[in-house]
Amino acid sequence: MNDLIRKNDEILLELKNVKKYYDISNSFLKNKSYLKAVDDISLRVRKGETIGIVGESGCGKSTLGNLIMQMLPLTEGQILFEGEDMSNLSANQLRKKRLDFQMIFQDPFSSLNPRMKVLDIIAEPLRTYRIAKGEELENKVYSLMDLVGLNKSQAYRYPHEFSGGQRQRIGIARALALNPKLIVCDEPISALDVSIQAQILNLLSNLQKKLGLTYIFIGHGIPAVKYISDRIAVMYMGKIVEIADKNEIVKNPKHPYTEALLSAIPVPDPKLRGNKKQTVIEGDVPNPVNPPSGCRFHTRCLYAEEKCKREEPQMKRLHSYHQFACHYPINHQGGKEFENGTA
Amino acid sequence: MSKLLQINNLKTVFYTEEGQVPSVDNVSLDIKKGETVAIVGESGSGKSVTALSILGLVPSPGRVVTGEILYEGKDLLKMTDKEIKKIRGNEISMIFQEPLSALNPVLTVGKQIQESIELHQKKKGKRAKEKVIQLLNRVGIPRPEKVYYSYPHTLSGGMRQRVMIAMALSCRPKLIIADEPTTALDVTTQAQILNLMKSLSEEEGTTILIITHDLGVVAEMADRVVVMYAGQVVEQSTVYDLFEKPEHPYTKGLLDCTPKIHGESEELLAIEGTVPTIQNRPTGCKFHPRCKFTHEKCKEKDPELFTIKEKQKVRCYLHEKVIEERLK
Ligand SMILES: Nc1ncnc2c1ncn2[C@@H]1O[C@H](COP(=O)(O)OP(=O)(O)O)[C@@H](O)[C@H]1O
Ligand SMILES: Nc1ncnc2c1ncn2[C@@H]1O[C@H](COP(=O)(O)OP(=O)(O)O)[C@@H](O)[C@H]1O
Ligand code: SF4
Ligand SMILES: [Mg+2]
Ligand SMILES: [Mg+2]
Repeated sequence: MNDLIRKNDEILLELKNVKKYYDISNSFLKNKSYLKAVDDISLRVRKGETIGIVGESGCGKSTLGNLIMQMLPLTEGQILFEGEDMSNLSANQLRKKRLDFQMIFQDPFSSLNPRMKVLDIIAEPLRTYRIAKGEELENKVYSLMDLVGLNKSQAYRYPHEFSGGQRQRIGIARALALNPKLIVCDEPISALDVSIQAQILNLLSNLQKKLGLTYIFIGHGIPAVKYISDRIAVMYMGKIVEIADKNEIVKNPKHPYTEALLSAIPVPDPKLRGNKKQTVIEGDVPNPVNPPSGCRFHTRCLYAEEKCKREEPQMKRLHSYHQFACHYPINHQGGKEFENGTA
Repeated sequence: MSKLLQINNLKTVFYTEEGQVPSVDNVSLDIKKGETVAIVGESGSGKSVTALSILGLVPSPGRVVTGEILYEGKDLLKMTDKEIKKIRGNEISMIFQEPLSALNPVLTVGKQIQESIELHQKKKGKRAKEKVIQLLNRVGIPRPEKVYYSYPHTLSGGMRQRVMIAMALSCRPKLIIADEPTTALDVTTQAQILNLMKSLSEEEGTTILIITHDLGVVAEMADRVVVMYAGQVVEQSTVYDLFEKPEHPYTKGLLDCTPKIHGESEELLAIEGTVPTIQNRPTGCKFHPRCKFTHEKCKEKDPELFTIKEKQKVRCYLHEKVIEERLK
């Protein structure tokens, strides 16, 4: 039972108990050892919505993004795109399906040939999939450049001649070339100056409205992610620990980790200095090869009890659109039991 | 409060293919004893080069060409290498964004700090080691006896930054210059490091110059703020005035595009255009190609830093009028 998604919502993407364990066995040791980078994540994404994904570095955000992009094999679970299980597709079918999802990276050019001109960078996917050639191709590239706020006079320049923000625009144009339905954005603004971050966030929002795109937006700062997202999922050590509507999650966090992430954000108002609730957590994320028993957060949690060390909390529903995995949620004085549920 | 550091008209240039280009252009600022001053601005505004100029560490092909940097009244720029070395790492310590670049990879953390203590505090052997453990404790490192024997690369980013701070404290500096000390860290770790720096300032009266591009960090830490853009100081004021009544169009723009956690708005106000590189800094007001209020004069001549009230200065012609009217 899950009424988080309303009946007539169209589900574009569904993750069912998705796991990715990296084999990190050492050849000298007999025992196999695994790093559970993504550990049992279930999530349904509506067409046209943006899910923000936040959490400390190493919590599995990029791994999750790469799994959705079919760039990594799953260890377990299923990923359904428009209701179709991706693992059932043949290589050829997958190649076709791949037109529908694209990715934007933090540094769009780390993987590209620095000697390619902007025109060729944006045209490459169109050529690979034989969508256009000649003058039609060129015109298509110009209209993509226009769409992302680049001038067509820049088409014959090289990436190094562009600033970080403009390079990100080129990356976005390239991602849009094949008319995707879903774009996974892996920290596309983390390396940019704040004035440029705002430009790119606004561009992505406008493109979404114009083209009806669905986004998975990975970021490490909740404030920036909040601008573009409808819902925000908080990850800790390979798991989603809380997911809710973006305004709800900042006003009424239920998971102690979400609360800690929120209270750690420096507030750009000196008058509020010092009167913030002190829920700053201590220490670092534990070693992911040996995650803590029970609730993985218990070693850093301010509210942990005995039960947290023993029992892993299941996803619970506060309301239809707010779920969390914690035995002792914030501002909840016993009484009401929560229903189980997944995002 | 007396001034610990006073920079007057500092100009630091780099020699490039296009000739000599100013990276830091006529910057003046001062820091009083016990104060925390923040320099804020986006990348390329000259924050790091300002810090490196103070310590005589500007990398070639860069050079300080004019100005004064008075530390307790003495000009650091007129000192010999030997004299400046004595101040650097004794009275002034620096903390960098990436501590790995500043720590020795083949020495244990404990050994490095101990060497510094033996050098600066004239303690030897067991007493020096005790002091190291005490310092590691002070900066919030759990199990310091164990971390003493660790190599820098085996520690997490947050732990390394704590070690860097312990290292900086080992010489009991009067001034700590922290250049983006939390930029590479997760927010949770950032909060821990900022709290640690605050406690140094509050409990030990350490003077801090913190460099950041994050107005949130400024609001948490600073008493006074210097906003830099394209090598120049464009606004200078107390932290409260800066956030309540920012006067320079760039400062306002920066505040508007900083995402706020409880903001209800769906759109961030961006500053159009890009930060110029040092070779392409425009004539006139360096901000004019991106400014919403640009008029003819802004394109022609660099505005000076107008003092609009005690403790607040703004480099913008919009304030020239205000001052002229006041004088009439
Ligand atoms: N190819 C890999 N092999 C082994 N471990 C990996 C690999 N890629 C990532 N990891 C580990 O998986 C965890 C999650 O990494 P990642 O998904 O990159 O996190 P995030 O994007 O949230 O920073 C980390 O502990 C990381 O070290
Ligand atoms: N080693 C160098 N060689 C040439 N130019 C440099 C060097 N270091 C800095 N600069 C120039 O000086 C300007 C200011 O740099 P910096 O002080 O590092 O900026 P910030 O710290 O504010 O990001 C930059 O635009 C950069 O191009
Ligand atoms: S001087 Fe002119 S261009 Fe510069 S900030 Fe002021 S109004 Fe804008
Ligand atoms: Mg990542
Ligand atoms: Mg810098």
